[in-house]
Amino acid sequence: MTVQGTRDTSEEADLLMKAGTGDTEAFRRLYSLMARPLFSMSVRILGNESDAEDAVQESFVKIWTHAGAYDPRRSLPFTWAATIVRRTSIDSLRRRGARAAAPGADDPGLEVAVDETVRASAEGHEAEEQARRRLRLAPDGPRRALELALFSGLTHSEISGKLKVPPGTVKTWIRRGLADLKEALHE
Amino acid sequence: MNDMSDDLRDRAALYVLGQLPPDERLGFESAMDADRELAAYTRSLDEAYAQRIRALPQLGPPARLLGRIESQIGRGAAAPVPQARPGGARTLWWLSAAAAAALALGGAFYAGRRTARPRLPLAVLVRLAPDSGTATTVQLHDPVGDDNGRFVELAGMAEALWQKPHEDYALYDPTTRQGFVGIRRLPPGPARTRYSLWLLDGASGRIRFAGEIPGDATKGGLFAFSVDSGAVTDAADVRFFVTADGPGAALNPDTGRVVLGQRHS
Repeated sequence: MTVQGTRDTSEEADLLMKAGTGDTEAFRRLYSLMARPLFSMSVRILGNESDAEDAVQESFVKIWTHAGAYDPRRSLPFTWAATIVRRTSIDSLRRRGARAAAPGADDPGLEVAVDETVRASAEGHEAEEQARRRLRLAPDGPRRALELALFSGLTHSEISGKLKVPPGTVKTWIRRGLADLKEALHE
Repeated sequence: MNDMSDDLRDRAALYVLGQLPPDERLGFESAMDADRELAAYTRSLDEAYAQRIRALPQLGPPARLLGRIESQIGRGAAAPVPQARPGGARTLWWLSAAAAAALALGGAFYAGRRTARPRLPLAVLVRLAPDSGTATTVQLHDPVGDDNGRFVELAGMAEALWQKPHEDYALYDPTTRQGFVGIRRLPPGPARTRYSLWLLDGASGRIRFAGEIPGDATKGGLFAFSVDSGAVTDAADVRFFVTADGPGAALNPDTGRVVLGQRHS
C-alpha cells in the first residue's frame, strides 16, 4: 500500500505556486486542503485551540508572502507549509514560556487523548489510522525522539538531556523514527 | 542506498524537519542535486513526515480563521515576495530603490509581528570596503513597536543610503535579524558563479548565512536579507562579506572567494 497515492501533491504544488503570483483563489483552495491537518499540528504543539488559531493565522500569512520561494525539488508542498506552521507554533510556545505546558511525546495521557479524538473524528482515513497504530509500535527511543523533535520545540541537546542519550543518538533516532514510519506506511 | 552513510541519512532527516543550520542546509541541497539516491531517500522521509502530520487527530480550525487571514492579507499586510531560488538556495530579495521607497512609504511586512528578543533601539551600518569593515550604529525609532515598523524604517534608511554613489554597505537590525545590502557592482567570475552574503559576529567569531544574491549580481543592486538564527554577541562588532563560489560548489564562508567586505574582524 502506498499512502502517498491518496494525496494529490501536484495540485497542492500548483496551488502554492499560483499563490506565489498573488492568486487569491488558489490560496483559498490551498487553505481548504491544508488548514485542517496544520491546525491539528499547531494544537498538538501549543496544547490549545486559541493559541493554535493565532499561530495558524500568522503561518498562512507567511505562506502567502513566501509562496513564491517554494521549490518543488526540495520538499512536498504540504511539508513546506507544515514546517512554517511548526516553527511559528514553536516560536509562540517559547514566547509564552510555557513549553512544559504543551503535551510531550512521553506524556502517557497523550495517547489516550489521541485515541479518544481519533474515535470522535468522522474523517479519519484508514491509512492514517494505520499510521497511528504503526507509530505506536515503533521502537520507543526513535518514536519519542521524533515526536519531541516534531512537537515539543526542544533542541537536539535538550532532547538529548530529556532522553538521557548522546546528541548523536538523538539524530539517529529521529532519522530512524521517520524511516520506521516510512516503512510502515509502505507495507 | 547501501553506499549512503548513516551520517548522511541522519542529515537527511534533519533537513526534512527543517533543523539543519543554513550553511549545512545549502551543502545538503548541493549533495541532493548531485545524488539522485540521496534525493529519493530524502523525499521518502519527507513523505513520512507529511503522513505523520496528517495522522494526527484531526481538529477543524474555526470557520472565522480564513476570514481573519484574508483580512490581514487584504490590508496589504504581506504581498507575495518574489524570491527566485536558483540552485535551491535562499535568495536575497532584490529591491529597486523605488521598491524600497514604496516599502518605506506604505509597505507592510511581517505585519503586527513582534520579536520576543530584547528590542535594541539601533541598527548597524557596515561599510563594505576592502580596507574598512567598521560597523557604526544608527538610531532606530521603532515607532510602531513591531517588526513591520522596524523593517519599513530600515528600508527608508537603506534607500537614502542607496542615493549616495560609490559606496557599498550593509544595514542590519540585530533585533529582527533583517537588513539591506547595497552593492554597486561585484567582480565578474566564470559563468553561473554564485554570490553569497555572510554575517560575521566579531565577538564570537561565528559566521551566519544571510542569503544568495540573485540574478546578475555583478551589476549590483539594493537587496533585502534576513539571517535565520542566532543573536549577535555585540551589535557594534558585526561584519558582512560576500563570497563567490563556482557553479555546483557548496556555499562555504571559509572557502568561498571574498569579493566584498572582510571575512575577518
